[in-house]
Amino acid sequence: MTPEFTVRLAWRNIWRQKRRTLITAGAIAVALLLSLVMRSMQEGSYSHNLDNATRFYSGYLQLQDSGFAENQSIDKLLPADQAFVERIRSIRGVTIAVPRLESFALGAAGDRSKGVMVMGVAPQAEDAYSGLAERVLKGRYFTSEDEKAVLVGGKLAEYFSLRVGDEFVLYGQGYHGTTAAGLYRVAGIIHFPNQQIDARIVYLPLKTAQALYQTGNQVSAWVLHGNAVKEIPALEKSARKQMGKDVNVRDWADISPELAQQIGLDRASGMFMILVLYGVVGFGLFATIAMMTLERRREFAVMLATGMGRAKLQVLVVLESLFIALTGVIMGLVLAFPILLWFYYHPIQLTGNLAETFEEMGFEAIMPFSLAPELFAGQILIVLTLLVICSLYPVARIFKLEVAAGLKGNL
Amino acid sequence: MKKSLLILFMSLMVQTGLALAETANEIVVKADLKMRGQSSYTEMTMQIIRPTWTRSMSMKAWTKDQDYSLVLVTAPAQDKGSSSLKRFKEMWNWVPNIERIIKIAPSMLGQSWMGSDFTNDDLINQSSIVVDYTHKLIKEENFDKTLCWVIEATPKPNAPVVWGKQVIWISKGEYNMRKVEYYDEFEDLINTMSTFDVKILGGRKIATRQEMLPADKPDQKTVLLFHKAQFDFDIPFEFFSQKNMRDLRI
Repeated sequence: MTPEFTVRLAWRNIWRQKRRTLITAGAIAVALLLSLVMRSMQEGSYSHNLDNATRFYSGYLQLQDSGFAENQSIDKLLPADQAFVERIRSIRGVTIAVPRLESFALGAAGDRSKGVMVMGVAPQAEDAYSGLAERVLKGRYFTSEDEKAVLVGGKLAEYFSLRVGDEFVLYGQGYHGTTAAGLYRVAGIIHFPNQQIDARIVYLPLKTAQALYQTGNQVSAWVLHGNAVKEIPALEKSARKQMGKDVNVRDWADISPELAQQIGLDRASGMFMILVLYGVVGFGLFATIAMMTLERRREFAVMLATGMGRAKLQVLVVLESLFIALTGVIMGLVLAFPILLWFYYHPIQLTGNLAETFEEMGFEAIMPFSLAPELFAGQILIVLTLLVICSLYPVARIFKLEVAAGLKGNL
Repeated sequence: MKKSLLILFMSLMVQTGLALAETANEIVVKADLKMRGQSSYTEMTMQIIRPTWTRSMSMKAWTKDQDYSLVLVTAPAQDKGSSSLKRFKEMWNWVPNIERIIKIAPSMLGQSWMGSDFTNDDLINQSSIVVDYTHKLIKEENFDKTLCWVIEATPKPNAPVVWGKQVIWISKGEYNMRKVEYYDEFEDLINTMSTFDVKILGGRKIATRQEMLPADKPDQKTVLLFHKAQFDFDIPFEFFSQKNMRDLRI
């Protein structure tokens, strides 16, 4: 019996019970379809939203002075000169690098004062990167690199009863123990969906912030962006290599752990659903394979009696199971691919409460899909694993089959 | 005559007896009065010491009763004229280079004063230890070769304080605060202040060097040196005004 013959025999065997084969393959197809759609939606929105959400604060990666993370001291800074920029350029995969000077200060207006988070940004580069200008609700965005103007969060403006054009004082500790004190005009009021940030944030042009804290040409962080979220590990590796020991390379998950946790939790719940789904489908597949084996014990006995090797018979049965699984996988892919492709180019637009929740997390209210090959590979791998587990049964059964008893049908 | 002498003698006895059994509260009140009197004027230098840099500041400070104090920075040039004012429970800073008075929110009292290891509260709200805390004598111990009372101060309910607890070493006889340990509300040690160089200044024998050491940063500290002091002079309440804080050019 040639291998081709075995394959042809197996293919014909599964169509001896057309309906059963189709139902089993259909179950696999539907499970594959559902989990592909779900996972594609999850991964698609993670990478899309991560790309978006990280732009506002963490970036893909941040370069910081090795002592900054500990207590965000204004004394632990990185240079912002041309030589350092050149070094950043040497990191492979960096598409955008924006400087920021982040610190704390006491904000004061009129008779009130409150601790605020001060963010010095390069006006043009920052807007190009994070779209800061679009967040301005009232007033205007920065118009020059070193104007004595601030953008304040909406809730913070409310606390101080600030309006556009009002005076705002920042007072705190500058570089190496100097006093940081500055008087500014409110250029605009910005809105952040995240209320905690909205109630604390004050933006300054970078040069103004450097003058306030007397840091010279230094920054607290260089925020790096790359081509795609999945390239972050490679980017991080290259950054560590290029920047050396004195520069701390932190990824977005380190800087915004709550975002990483959110994604981790969501991903785990998706995985659990898929596990349940495949559990059900796996038993269906097993039932079919078990039946295919049990009802053909006499047939198997005849084949063994007429000289077919046990190993060959086992191969035949495994091939049959494989064909059912592959039929299911192909059906599933044929069904899923056009759907995923459609949503890949036409992401679902969220509305209502869900949209608000998304925006509050700093995400865009859309559900983009992912077409990453590893998603498909992962699902197919799961189906094939199920198959291997299920076909252990017929293989064992054939191994133990007694020819004489099988021929008589006394089993 | 004899009788009155006897009464005098007896009353002296009673007083000494009382003095021997001084309560923790009385000790703290005495120590606070010693350092500040009904009014006080001091000239100091503050050295902020960090692993990679140090910074020195000169200042003058006035206090009156327990409720008024004013600190004026006289050097370095860029901070010259900055001042901090405390009246009762409120505190303001004058920032000359932006010509603005900033009211310090109560939540900021625990923040560093001008980048030093002293908090706003430590520097400008010294009388708080008398007003806002209850005191308990826990033991006697030597510090810097001087026998001290060790007193634990816990904040009164609802007192507007920064610390969860303070432990104070006050020298017996001289009533100088020689060491203070500052604890947060979880009883973790945050800062330790020690004082040295007891000398006569402004007619009183006081510790002229204070060192503040943060517990979690062993390589940094702030040293406060007293150069000049004057006590119990007349000073009007109006001195401690927002207007004066702005106009002081001494």
